[in-house]
Amino acid sequence: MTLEASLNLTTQLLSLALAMQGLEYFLLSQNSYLMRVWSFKNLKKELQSSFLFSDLSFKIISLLLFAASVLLFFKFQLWIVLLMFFLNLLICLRFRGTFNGGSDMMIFVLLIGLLVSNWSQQAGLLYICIHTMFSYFKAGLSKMKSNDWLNGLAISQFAKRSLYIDSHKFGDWLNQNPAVAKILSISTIAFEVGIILLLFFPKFVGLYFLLALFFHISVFRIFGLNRFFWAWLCAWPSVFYCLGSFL
Amino acid sequence: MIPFNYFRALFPRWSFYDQVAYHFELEFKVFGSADWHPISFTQPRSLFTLFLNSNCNLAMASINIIEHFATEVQSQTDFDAHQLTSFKLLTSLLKAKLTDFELPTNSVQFKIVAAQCEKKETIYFSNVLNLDEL
Repeated sequence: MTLEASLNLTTQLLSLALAMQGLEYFLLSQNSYLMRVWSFKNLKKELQSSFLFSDLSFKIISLLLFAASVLLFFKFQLWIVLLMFFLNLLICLRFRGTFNGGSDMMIFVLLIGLLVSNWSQQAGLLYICIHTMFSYFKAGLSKMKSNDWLNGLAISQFAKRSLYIDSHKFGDWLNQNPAVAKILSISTIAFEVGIILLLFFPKFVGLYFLLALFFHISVFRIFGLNRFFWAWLCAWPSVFYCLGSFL
Repeated sequence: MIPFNYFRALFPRWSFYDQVAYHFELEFKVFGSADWHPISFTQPRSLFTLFLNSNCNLAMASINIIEHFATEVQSQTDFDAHQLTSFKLLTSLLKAKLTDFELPTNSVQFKIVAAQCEKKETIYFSNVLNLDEL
């Protein structure tokens, strides 16, 4: 993948991902449950600025995020990326760190990568690539240290904590089929840790990407983590470029 | 001043579902009753959630509130939980969730239960709260 193509694809995928997030936030800003729980009244002890963290500002921020994402899709401009960085930060602060955990972290990696790319396109993509590959590897390494993952118990337990009832049934089924659970666990660990092999065999990046797609779709299916799918998809053009160019 | 951990999205920690640690559940009971009821966050599946999944993401953010409060309760001693921001968020969440229940009284109590596999342990009991005052 060429440098320009990788950067364009990263930018456009990120703008799509953040447009969807902006729309989600706007829909949530109409949700009385959210506005009652994460009200400025509850948050003002730590977030003193009503201008930035009032209930109205959340609506405005979500609309600005959507609008900025649409603009970014058509043309990369530094001020748009800076704006999106700031808007995402305000949202994460409102939710006391992150709204959706790891996907918020990857979004910031992508935004910082694009900001860096304004001065050095290669450095920006390399930043994203390193974080992306490390995210898979670190996740797998952490699982390798867990007996629950090595013996297959973890997947069933996590499935049973999903927000979806049918995922609970999948967890129960895995409990009744421990061999399958173990195979799935070991496969997950192997997949995540195995990304390190791309450094030695970069020509298999396409195959690994297909496995990653399947992995993220499965995670979405079991846990409902749609944002993770899009956040990591945005990062893959940088992996394609960097493995093709530097190795 | 904004606490430093509010900026943790800027410092990625790539460990996902690495340990089957305790997860925390929220239960409530009406004052005068002995029966505890769990607050559920389960969601139905719907179309196009790969693109927009606001209800599910909101439910996960709600569960985060419970986890934040549980973590703060376990990490501090000799403190007034009512002063915690996480307590205010949690009681607002409880009040919002209880609008779906027909309660005989507005006085309720909640507890946080740490659960792992089949093991459960209560880590926090609230005082009796008046929902109208939350």
